[in-house]
Amino acid sequence: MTVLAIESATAAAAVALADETGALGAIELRAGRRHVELLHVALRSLLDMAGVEIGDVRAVAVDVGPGLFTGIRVGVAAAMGFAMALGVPVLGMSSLEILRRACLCAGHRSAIGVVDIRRGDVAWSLPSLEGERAVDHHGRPAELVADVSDYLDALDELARRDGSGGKEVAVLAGDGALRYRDVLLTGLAPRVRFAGSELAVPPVTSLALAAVSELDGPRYVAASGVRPTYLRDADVRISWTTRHDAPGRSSRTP
Amino acid sequence: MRVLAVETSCDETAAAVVDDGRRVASSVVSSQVDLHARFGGVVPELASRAHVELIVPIVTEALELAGLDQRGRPVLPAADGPGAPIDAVAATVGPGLVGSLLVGVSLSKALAMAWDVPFVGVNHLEGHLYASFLEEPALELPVVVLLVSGGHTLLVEVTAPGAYQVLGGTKDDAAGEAFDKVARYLGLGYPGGPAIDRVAGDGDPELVRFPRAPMEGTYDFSFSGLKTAVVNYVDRNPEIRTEDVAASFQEAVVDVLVEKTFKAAVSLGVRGVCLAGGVAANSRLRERACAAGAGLGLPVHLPSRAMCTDNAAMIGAAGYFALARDGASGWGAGAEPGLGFGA
Ligand SMILES: [Zn+2]
Repeated sequence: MTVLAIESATAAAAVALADETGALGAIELRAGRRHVELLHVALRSLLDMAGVEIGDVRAVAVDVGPGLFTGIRVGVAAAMGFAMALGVPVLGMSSLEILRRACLCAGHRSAIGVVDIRRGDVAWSLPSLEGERAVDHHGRPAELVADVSDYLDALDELARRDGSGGKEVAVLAGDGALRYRDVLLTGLAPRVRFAGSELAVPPVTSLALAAVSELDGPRYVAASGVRPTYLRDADVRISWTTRHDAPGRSSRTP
Repeated sequence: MRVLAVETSCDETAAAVVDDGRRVASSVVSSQVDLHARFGGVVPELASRAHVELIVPIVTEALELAGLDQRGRPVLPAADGPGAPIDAVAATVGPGLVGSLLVGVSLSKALAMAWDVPFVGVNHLEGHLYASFLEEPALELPVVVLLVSGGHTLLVEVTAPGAYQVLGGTKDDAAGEAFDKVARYLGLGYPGGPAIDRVAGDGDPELVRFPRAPMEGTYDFSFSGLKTAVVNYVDRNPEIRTEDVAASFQEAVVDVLVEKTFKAAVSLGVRGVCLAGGVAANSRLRERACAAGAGLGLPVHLPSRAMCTDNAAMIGAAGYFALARDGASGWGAGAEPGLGFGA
């Protein structure tokens, strides 16, 4: 059962193929704003190199954000197209969850995904004290500092109670953690570590493997059911500038 | 050859299945006009979000109406005609709003790759030229096409499918944009074209003689001065009826459009004139173009309102001829929001 994973919610355009035996291959490119130009080319190359027929793909997984709106939409639209044309289901997974899963695999229990959502805000995913589930938040980096600080205090309190006593350390992963590293260090050192630039973007292979592990699970939906995660309302700005340059910068039919 | 076409360049989410660039097997358009109306114009981020939500249901419906299931497989076996599988996927790559274009391009490339058929990127403006063709396959070439909408005002000579040259365009505002802005100023709401068309019917088109920018010696247009003239006139004459301002403004726009179009048609010796684009639905423009054509003995082709406004059938026709002319676009095709229109 081959799964196709698509990651374009952040600075990367990336695709991976995986099945029950593990990852079959991945291509990850720094995309800037060229997600739509790179994503399909990367997939075509990956299919050819991995010797996989597109018709063998039995499920599609996609990073639905938070992250860059246009990048997310490129990924989601591509995932919808493949799922629809192939008649297979889609799993939309949050960029924060992908980061967290990748950290957990690396053995970091208190892993926190932090994604830069622009305009000075970040989104993060805080593991619950009970373990598995995580809760998503977004706001200023200072709010993240307060949130992580409270979380670590609570963990330490739990540890004191059961006598293990250790000082908990959180691992921050994602482009938001890297961008606001100084703010986070000032507020949280020495209780945080950084996963580093290898986890700056949600690793597409982690998404693919997660999607394999959830095959036939309830989080898979039909092609039309997957949605981007925006976290903020649309800017209401009329695009007079795009519309005005003549001739024909854009089409608006009255 | 059967082409599935997708159009998401502005605020219409559209899909169509077109056979051999001439026959429309299905055409589905979902307009977001209500979504944007309260803002008085298209809000790009809202449009992009809506495209993501609408695109799969719209493409699915277009496939189903053409006898295909969501996977593009024939519902009823058939060698040709309804039920025949898709041979190529076309999508508008520009000009338009980048965030909206990306949705259609990304989805369409995925469909084409999954079905193992070519993808072809289409210039939206070229698409508009095919509106009359699709409704009148026997239409004789060459023709002069007046393409007028909220984003464009172009005069184009079409000599064969896929072969054309631009004669002129607007130097500032598009005709439809002038309608939108004047309607907004007069408090007639959005979109402005139909609003002005409606009230102008009860007004006197001769009451105020607004300036017609001559753009002497060219087939170019200019509408920004006209909009300013309307605003100045109403400021000085607040008692004037809105209906009369609308009718007089509309007459000034229609005058220059009709005059330049038929001047070009006569001097080039073409066999007909086509109107295209959303403003081609304007009833005064249609009336005056018909009268001018009748006077000169030139056939005038007026697409239906559905074919004037943005739709994917025209993209399917343009895609079919672009594929024959230029071959498939690569998988690296992207959105080109500022795409121009060359010969
Ligand atoms: Zn248009």
